Amino acid sequence: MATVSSSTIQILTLAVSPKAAMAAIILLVPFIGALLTLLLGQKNYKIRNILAVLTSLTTLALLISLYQVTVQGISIGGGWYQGILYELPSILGVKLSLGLDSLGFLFALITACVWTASTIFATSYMAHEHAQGRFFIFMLLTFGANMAVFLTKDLFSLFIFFELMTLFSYVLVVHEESSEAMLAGHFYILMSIIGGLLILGSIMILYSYTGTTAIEPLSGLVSSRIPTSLKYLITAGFIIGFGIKAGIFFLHVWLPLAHPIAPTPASAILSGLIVKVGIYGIIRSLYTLFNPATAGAEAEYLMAVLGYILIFAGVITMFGGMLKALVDKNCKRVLAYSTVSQMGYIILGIGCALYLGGEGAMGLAGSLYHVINHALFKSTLFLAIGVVYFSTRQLQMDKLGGLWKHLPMTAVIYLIAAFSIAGFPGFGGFASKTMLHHAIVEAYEHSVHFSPIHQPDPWLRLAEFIFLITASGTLCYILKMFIAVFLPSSRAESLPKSPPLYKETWAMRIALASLGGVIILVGIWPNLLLEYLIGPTLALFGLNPGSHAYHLIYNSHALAGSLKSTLPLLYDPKTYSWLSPEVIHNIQNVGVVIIGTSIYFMFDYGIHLFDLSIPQKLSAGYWYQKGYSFLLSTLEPVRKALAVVDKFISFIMVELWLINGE
Amino acid sequence: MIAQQIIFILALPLIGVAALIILGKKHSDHYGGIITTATCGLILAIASLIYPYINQAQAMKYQIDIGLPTTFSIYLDAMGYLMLVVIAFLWFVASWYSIEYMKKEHDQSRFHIFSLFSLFGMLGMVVSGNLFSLYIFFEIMSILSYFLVIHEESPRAMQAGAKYLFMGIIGGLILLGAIIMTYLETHSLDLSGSGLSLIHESPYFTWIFWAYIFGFAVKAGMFPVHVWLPEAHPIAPTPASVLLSAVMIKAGAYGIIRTIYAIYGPAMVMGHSFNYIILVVAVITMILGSIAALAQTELKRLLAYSSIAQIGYVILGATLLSKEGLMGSVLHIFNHAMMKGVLFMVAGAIAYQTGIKNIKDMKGISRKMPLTMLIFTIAVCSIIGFPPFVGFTSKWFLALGALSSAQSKIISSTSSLIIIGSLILSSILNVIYFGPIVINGWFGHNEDEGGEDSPPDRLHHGHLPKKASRTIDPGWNMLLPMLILAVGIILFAIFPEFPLGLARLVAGSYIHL
Repeated sequence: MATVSSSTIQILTLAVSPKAAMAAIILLVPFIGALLTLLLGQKNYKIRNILAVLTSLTTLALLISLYQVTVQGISIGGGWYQGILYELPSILGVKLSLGLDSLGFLFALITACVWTASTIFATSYMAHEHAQGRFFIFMLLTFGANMAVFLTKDLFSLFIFFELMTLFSYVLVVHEESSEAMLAGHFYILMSIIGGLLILGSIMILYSYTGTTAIEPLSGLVSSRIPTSLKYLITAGFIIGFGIKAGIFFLHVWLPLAHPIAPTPASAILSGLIVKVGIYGIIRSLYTLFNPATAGAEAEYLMAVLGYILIFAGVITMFGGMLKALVDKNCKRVLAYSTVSQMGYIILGIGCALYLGGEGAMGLAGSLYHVINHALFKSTLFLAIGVVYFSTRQLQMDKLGGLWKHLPMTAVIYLIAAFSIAGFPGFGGFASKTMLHHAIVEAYEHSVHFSPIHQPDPWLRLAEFIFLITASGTLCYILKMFIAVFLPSSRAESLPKSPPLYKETWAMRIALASLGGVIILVGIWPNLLLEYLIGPTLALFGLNPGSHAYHLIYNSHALAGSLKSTLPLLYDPKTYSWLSPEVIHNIQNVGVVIIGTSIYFMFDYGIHLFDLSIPQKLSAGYWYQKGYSFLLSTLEPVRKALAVVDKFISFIMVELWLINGE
Repeated sequence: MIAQQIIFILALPLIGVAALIILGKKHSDHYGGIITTATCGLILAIASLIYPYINQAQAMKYQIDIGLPTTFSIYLDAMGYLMLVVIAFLWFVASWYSIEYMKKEHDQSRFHIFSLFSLFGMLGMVVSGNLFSLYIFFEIMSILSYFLVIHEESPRAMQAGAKYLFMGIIGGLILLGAIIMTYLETHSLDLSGSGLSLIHESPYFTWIFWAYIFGFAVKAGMFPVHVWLPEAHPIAPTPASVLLSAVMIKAGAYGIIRTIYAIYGPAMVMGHSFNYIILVVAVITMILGSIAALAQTELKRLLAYSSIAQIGYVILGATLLSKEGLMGSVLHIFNHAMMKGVLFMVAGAIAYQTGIKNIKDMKGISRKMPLTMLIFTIAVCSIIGFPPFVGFTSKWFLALGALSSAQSKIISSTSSLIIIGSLILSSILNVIYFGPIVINGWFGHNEDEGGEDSPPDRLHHGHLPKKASRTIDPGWNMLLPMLILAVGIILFAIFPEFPLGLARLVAGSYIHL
């Protein structure tokens, strides 16, 4: 792959090989599965379960079969092909196309994996819920729409499937049909639609000025055809629109409401995967608008501004989410806030990547790595808490405790995921968080170039500091939950003896074990992901995977196969030494995180930190509620004035002429 | 040959009326719906024969001298043809629907006779080649559809009818004044030729223009002369509501499009900034219609306000004066007819089967009428503008039209962004007032019903027993018309070639850029 220069790489189309049609086939599989489930699975729940699992497995298998051509590239008749493209008939004069490249493959793969595990889990979890048929059908429909987003090669069809995904996943959110679920659903659908409309607005402006929405020609046309002022507008539309799905701070309000209220397998998917569609949208649209390889001075400036904004959006998101997670008592809500916080990490990485322009490999690599990690550990955590709920019908931490004895396997898998989210060496989270930390440090050092006085930007130093505080907080809330749920606790009231405690079922064990296994796998060999998935994606965007800090990780594949690669970040391949300054820095950070965590716990003993409640006015949801009712109350006088106008005009035009108004 | 076909189309409703009268009240009460449906089906079939000619961008012209200062002439171009199809299609499904629906009503034969008369007026209007005959047919439709509005004969209906009639007559008279002035100034009423362009030289052209716009705007239900609409549309029997809201208000939009493009011409309209004024009114209509809909408690009334908002889209597209804008406008005439048709039919079906008219009583209605609710959901998704439904198609073109107007300096780029902003705002308002109906319909629980309908017990372990449920979806005679439209909403979004081709022809014939 490396021997082929980028100019000769072509995209595999139907004219070259029928394999290009696979994009369409993969897209159709979940929808066919949903249709079959509707037709065959309504009566017999066994057939339904088998169909659901089989559909996700088929999609996964088909997807993996495309790895070679989409990510590594293949040679056919002397030409080098990487990525597939399947042209669709155009609609409304807009040409539509499906296809897959390495970025799409990365997201699609993790989605298919986690979805399969969640579906397996759901087959036994949902056995005790109402409207199971509806749940599985919409699970498959959402899956189809979600995969389809990654399988599109133009923004127009991306948008269509993005909207379909919102519609389908809404049904999963309101599954309970309780008033709480309905409220969460209202927030979800309203915000998503507003986001969707903003995205649509941006796509329309792009289309109107360039005459295309396809990603390939678009990335070349944007800089020359679109006025700068509109570029800001388009970018804002994309970031806010996709950011609502991704849960960026102040756009996240729906997330902590909707994720916990859905049935657990759906929570795992919403929190682990569907937020990632927002991230995918941000990465895809921004790197379509700004290509770091070809960006001129103006575009580079715009990227830096944008990156700076995103860095702080990320920092605020991660910190706010962490604080909320720290003080919440509902297990699923803690995980939902944790998702907000972790999305902050990913946004921060994207921000760093943009800020650094052509040098942004580390930021994007960290983000993509964290996307994968978060999908794995967050769905695992949700499913583990799902087992707890399945067993005890309880989600409040202070009413749980001592479940270690009843659910030993769940506890172990929970711990594995917890270590990963906390960023312990040897687990996936360590690699991604270290890379993100490197990225923010790089951004800090790089800020000298943007400073008129040639000093690094102190705000970025603050961002790095908050990054570390948040990392400690993460470890803290995840441990807090483990202690409350699984360890015998003096604070916990004894669990009611009836209904009896249920054990995990086999389906649950399979789902949890496979996810836990993958977490350990990517933790031990982090270079697997870097080399086989993330590296090609960086190359796709013209980012140099060999840039200084990235080198550190990427070259560690020299150690692949041995357990030493567990600690690629502790070993510096450049200097062939274990304790280079770089390495010591990484270890220091882990130390800082652990010390930070103990400080949090100390605070808890002192002032009962975890029992504090954040003032209502500091929560974004409060302001949304206020804003919404304010909006409706301002509309009310308008409506009343309208009624007066109505009366007046009726009078002039009708009643004045009628002798008898009856 | 085609002229004969068009005249036959025009004659068919009258033949239908004659048949109903000959059959006598008893029989036509019984067979009226079927006869009307058959008439509309026949019209639709003949209309489909004309399509190849229209599709080759050929306009049809045929003159009959009737000894008045002007001639009666038939003229059918892509714009008229699209209207013809919308009219015939919607009248067909609405009449089919009325077969079952009207069984519970009195005086069915009267309803069908006046429905056919209104159809005659509508058809005549869109195939008219000159302003004189256009006016005659417009008035036939406007005045005879009064009997559809007051069908109930309740005090509320009579009051709404009075409003409808009065405003219709005032609008009509002003329109007549405009037409007389046009004739005096240009000595021509021919829509198809270039004689009307002499109006540019008239000292009164501004007054005449606004008289035209006012006359048609009353029928279209534009702000601020919409006041009859929310009274008249909901009170009529549902098939009539469908016709009024989905088709007849389009007569006004059709008139406005003809005024701007055929009588005055886009260059003239732009030169005097007429377009800006109508544009602002259209945007206000769009937003205020939605805001008024927010507070409605009765479904049919809400739908009527939504029609006001939607007609704002049509007028907005027409005033953008760009190809995409006019295409969006023409497409929306077609698309909105289907969407609003379905929505009213569902409202009627729910009232017919359960007697529920208020939105708050519709919680959990999907458990009783799942198919009806599915159809409703499709229509709502479409009207909000979700892809891939037709509502999205027209909004896409409207927004593109705004942008391309800005690019060709017809409007400023700030105003194009404001227009896109108001399209977005209007969609959001649509979500706010349509969303809860759908959501509560599917997932809501009616508190009054309690136990059996409330959310299931969370502590239950083991497979839940299936609840024996009996659905009361309406019979096929009501369901099929709704289904046809619902399928149309999806099909014409995925394969939009038919309406889009016509819209392209319309835009191509009027805007040469």
